[in-house]
Order: sequence, then C-alpha cells, then structure tokens
Amino acid sequence: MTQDQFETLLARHGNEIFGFCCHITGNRNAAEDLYQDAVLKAFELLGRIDGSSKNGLKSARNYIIGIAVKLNSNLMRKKLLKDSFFVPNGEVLIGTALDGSDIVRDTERKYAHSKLREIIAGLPERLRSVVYMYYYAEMPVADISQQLDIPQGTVKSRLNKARKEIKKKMEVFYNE
Amino acid sequence: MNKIDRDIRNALKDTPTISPDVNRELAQKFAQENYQRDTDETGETLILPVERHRKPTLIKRVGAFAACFTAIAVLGGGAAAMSGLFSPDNSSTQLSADDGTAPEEISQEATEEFTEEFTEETTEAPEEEATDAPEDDPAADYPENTYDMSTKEGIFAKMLNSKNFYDNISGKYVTAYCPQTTDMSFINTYQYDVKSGKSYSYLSCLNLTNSLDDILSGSMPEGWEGGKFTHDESYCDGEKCYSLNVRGYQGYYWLGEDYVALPDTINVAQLLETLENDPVVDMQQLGFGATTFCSNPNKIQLIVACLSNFENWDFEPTSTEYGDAVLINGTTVHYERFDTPTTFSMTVDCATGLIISYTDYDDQGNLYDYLVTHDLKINENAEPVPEIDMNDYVEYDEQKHANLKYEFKTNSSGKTYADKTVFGISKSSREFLPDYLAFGDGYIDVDEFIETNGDMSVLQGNDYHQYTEPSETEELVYKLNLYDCEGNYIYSIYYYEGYIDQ
Repeated sequence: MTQDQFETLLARHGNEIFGFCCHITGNRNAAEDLYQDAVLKAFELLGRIDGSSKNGLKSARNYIIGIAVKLNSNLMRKKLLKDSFFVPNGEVLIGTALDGSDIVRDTERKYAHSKLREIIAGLPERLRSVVYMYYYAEMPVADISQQLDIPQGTVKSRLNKARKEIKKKMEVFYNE
Repeated sequence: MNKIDRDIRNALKDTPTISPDVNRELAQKFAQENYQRDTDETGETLILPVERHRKPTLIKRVGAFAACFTAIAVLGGGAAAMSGLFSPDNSSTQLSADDGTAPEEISQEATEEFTEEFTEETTEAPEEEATDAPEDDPAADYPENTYDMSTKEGIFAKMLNSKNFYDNISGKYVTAYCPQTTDMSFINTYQYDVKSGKSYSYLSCLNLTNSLDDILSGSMPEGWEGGKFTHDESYCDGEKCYSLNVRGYQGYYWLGEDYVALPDTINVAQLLETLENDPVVDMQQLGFGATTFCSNPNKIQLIVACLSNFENWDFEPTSTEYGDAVLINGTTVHYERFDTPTTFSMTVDCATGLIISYTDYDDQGNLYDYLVTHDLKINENAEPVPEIDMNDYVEYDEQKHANLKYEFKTNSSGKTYADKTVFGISKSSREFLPDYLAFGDGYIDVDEFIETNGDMSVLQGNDYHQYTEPSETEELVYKLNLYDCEGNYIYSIYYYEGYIDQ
C-alpha cells in the first residue's frame, strides 16, 4: 500500500477504527492511544498491506483493527487499563460523547443498549474482541479469522458463545 | 437476523468520532518518527523505521522482516523468509543483513543470560545442524537448541522442531473446542512427507456414539469416525498448498500462499528473547502461521502458550503406546488464546516431540480443550501422502465464481431449484443460487436459510453430519425445513456445523 492510499484509508475508515478502539478499550483516552499505536504500527508495516485489490481499503481497515485487538490484548495483560467504559453511576461515557446525536432517543431502549454494552464489555477478552469485530466493525468471519490468526470455526464458536452469554444476561436484565 | 444480533449491532453502533486533536497528534508522531522511505521494484513503499519509542530490538527486526518479506516475494521465495528466528541456513538472515537494517545487537547481559540458560549438552540433534554462521548473522548470537527430553529446554525445543525427527508421518488427532459434549469434536487426519514437502489432511466428524471419556482415554471403538467434511481438505504438492473443494464447491481449489514454506529450525533462545522484547509481535509475524502446515502436526502456538515460561510447568517421565514420553502439567502464559492463566496437562512423545494427548481447563476447572493423537506412524510405517492430480481441480475465484451461471430447473410456480449439492450458501452467493437447493431427502429454501443463519453459516451439501435431535451445542445446530421441489413443506431436520480449534 502506498502512503497516499494509507491517508485515504484513514480519511475514510479512521472513525470506524477509532470507534472500534473505543469499544474494545471502554475508555476514550485509552482508545485514542490505542488508535494511534495501531495506526503507527500499520504504517510501519505498510509494505505488507495490499491496497490495490478491490476491497483493499476495507481489508487494510480490518488489518488495523486486528492490530488494535492485539495491542489492546497486550495492554490489558500489562494492566495498564484501569478506567472503565462505564462510570460508577452507570452513566455511559460513550453516550456523553454522542450528546446531540439522534441515534438513541428512547430512554428505555437507550438503557437496554447501555446494559447490553456493559454486558459485552464484561465478556472475556477473547469473546469480546470477536463481538466488536463482527457486530461493530462488521467484519466477515473469514477476515476476523485472518486478523486474529485463529480458524474460522473458532471465530464462530466464540461468537456463538458470546451471543449465548449476552442472551442469558439480557434475559436476567429484562426479568429484573 | 436474530433479535439478539440486531440488538448487539444497534447497541454498538453508537460511537464517538475521532477528535481532530488525535489526528494532529498522530501527524506529529509520523513526523517525529523520522521514517525512512524507499521504493522497491514494484513501486510499493517500504517503511523502515529508524527511531522508535518502543523497545528497539524487535521493532528493528520487524522492520527488517517487512523489508525481507517484500524482497523475498519479489524473488519468488514467498513465505520462506521468516525473520531471523530460524536457523542460520535461512535465506532471510542473509537478506536482513543486506538490506541495511540489521537488527540492533543484543545486549551483553541478555547474551550471557541466554548462553547460560542453553549450554546443556545436546544429546540428540537434528540431521542438518547449522554450521558456521556469517558474522553479521543475528542468529549467531544464540546458542543452538538442545533436544534433551530430560530438560525443559530440550522438551520445548524438540516439540517446536519435531519435524526434524522424522521424514514421513501420518496420524490423526481428535480435538475440540469447549467440549462439554462430544458434538464439537473433530478428527484431523494427516499425512506429511517432510523431505518432499508433500502433505494431505482433512477433517472428519466423530461417530456420536463416542463419549468424552472414550475420546480422552483414547479407547475408541470400531467405526469411531463419522463423515468427512470435504471442504476442509488440504493438499501440498511439494511446491504449493491448496485448499480443496473450497467453500464446499467440489472440484475447486484455493491456493494457500501462506503455506508454501517448510519450516526451518526454530531457535528457542531467540524465540524467547523475541517474545520477551515485544509481545505485540504475533505468531503470524513470526512466521508460525505460515510454517506449521506442511510438516509439523504439533501446534506451535499451543506449545509456546504452554511452555515458553519454564517456571510455569513441570514434567515427569511416563510412557504411551508409542514409547517413552513425558507428562507435563502447568499453567499457560502467552497469547490471546489464553487470556487468563489456564491449567493444562499434556503427554509428549520422547522420540518425536509430538503431543500425544493434551487437555486444558477453564478457571472453574471445566474441561475446555483437548487433543488426543491416534494411529501415529512415522517413517517407513507412515501412510503415504496420496497423489492428487490438481488438473482435476479448477482455481476458485470469488469474482468469477459469482458470475458463474448454472442451469436450474423451474417448478410450476416459476421458482428455480437444483439437485446439485455442491453449492455453498451465504449472502454473498445468493445471486447465483436457485430458490431451492437439494438437501437430504428434499430441498431447502435458500432465502429462508440465509434469513435464518445469515453469514454465520455456510451449508455445504450433504456432507455435514445430520442429527435427528438437537444437540447440547444448540447454537451450532440449525433446524432446516425441507420442501419438495414445488415448495411444499415435507418435514424438518437438524443439521450440525462444528469447528476445530487450532
């Protein structure tokens, strides 16, 4: 991939990558750091990214997301991330960041979504990563498999396990 | 799309946008990093970092690796360039010295530490030992492996380099992911010829009469193998490796570029040093993702995850039906596969370094994963790699494939149907599929299938094992309504789709 293509990639998909970093870190400051680290790492490996194919930019976006997952995974191991995506009173930071947007208006729905995000954020890392990659970044299973270097079956298994877990916890939430 | 899928997607779609400050800061970092840029023969930009705030040793090696990778690709060497991790006979080492970005020298302390740690006498050596390495070869900094199975270093090294201890090998292993039941167990059957680089392997399912106890004890009754999954079939002809019947399309292959190279000997001391310096580097970057396929049935990632911290495990001598072995018990350390420490137990064959059996457990003590080897045969006893004529196969091209037109029959309602069962079903393939597709004793409604399963599943003909009852792994068992070719409902069946972990 050329430098120009890389710039186009960031212009077109930067926000998506950043959004992914927000989800996976649960913390805006950490997301900004992760985003920068992932982009720098990708830039360093630019020669290995194929930007010429039909879905080149999308693939490159997925490549950076894959890097972000791995970097975050290592950061977590080092216990550098202490802040939560969710502040103690239950106010969702991401909601604050979205003030003024028209995405979620209904209070009940918003609360359910907050709860759902909280449940996802509480999943084990290996499940959480594939959930964000599949549902937020809308990456096909094959791409997730490639970026995480795990078989597609494992991706599917993790997705299924995550869905099961989320479903179970949401049922408890609705019954409360 | 299921409700839960919709809910998750909706809940996650709200995200903040990136602040302009972040982009400004990023631009500054790009400038501060002082990247040198060069252009290779293909016009691609090569980025060679010269100053990094991270630990320098590995980053520079990765930079060299990136350059090597491109250079090797130009030379037609493909994935053979796997950084300096392998023995000095690896051509990539020479290239890394030539590209002007030779890795930074290892510190004196580090060298002494590793030398001290790996000075035990080698009792068993691979056939081709590395000889004198060039002075500028980074691999020369590292002591050679020991393969003494009475030491931890020897066990680790032999397992990583087990392919050095046989020329031909065949066998099977049963493995699973989250095996609360046996429903997700699979058999991987393989035949490898290390010298020629030929290999063949495929996945099949278990006969469901086997209990988990049977599997773990290795005492499988006659007829323990169920149907073969034709889409999980791989073949290497010594030069190229192919996925056969890709995506369930019979007679089509995919060329697996990553699988071309045969692995060189992995230098354990260098591997450990690399992991220590930059855990960001993943196995794929190290080349392991590309080099374990053709000759080494051992799972490199698993070995590294379990054994790379020598303080986390212990071993004792034991034996198996294949001969002397060691029993290892410990706790895992590395990589995303194990995001929390996981206890494991494995039995390793002394002669080959191959894993004979393996189990690990989650933090509640539940069995999480396992691998049990069967029918292991080496050298003259090994089953030969079958000769497969690749002229019988056509290269799969997603773009072209989408435009392939099949002649479908039309029912009285004008809906199309096909008796072939060679189609893969997914959203992306819908446009060239008929409305009804043969499955079992009837036809499935393609739109209904996609609506129900989306991209989560690809149904591939009759090769999948079918159940008459839903299993415990309900998320992987789908209910299918069968129709006649006129679209009249006949009855419903369950089909099962399962997977193998690495």
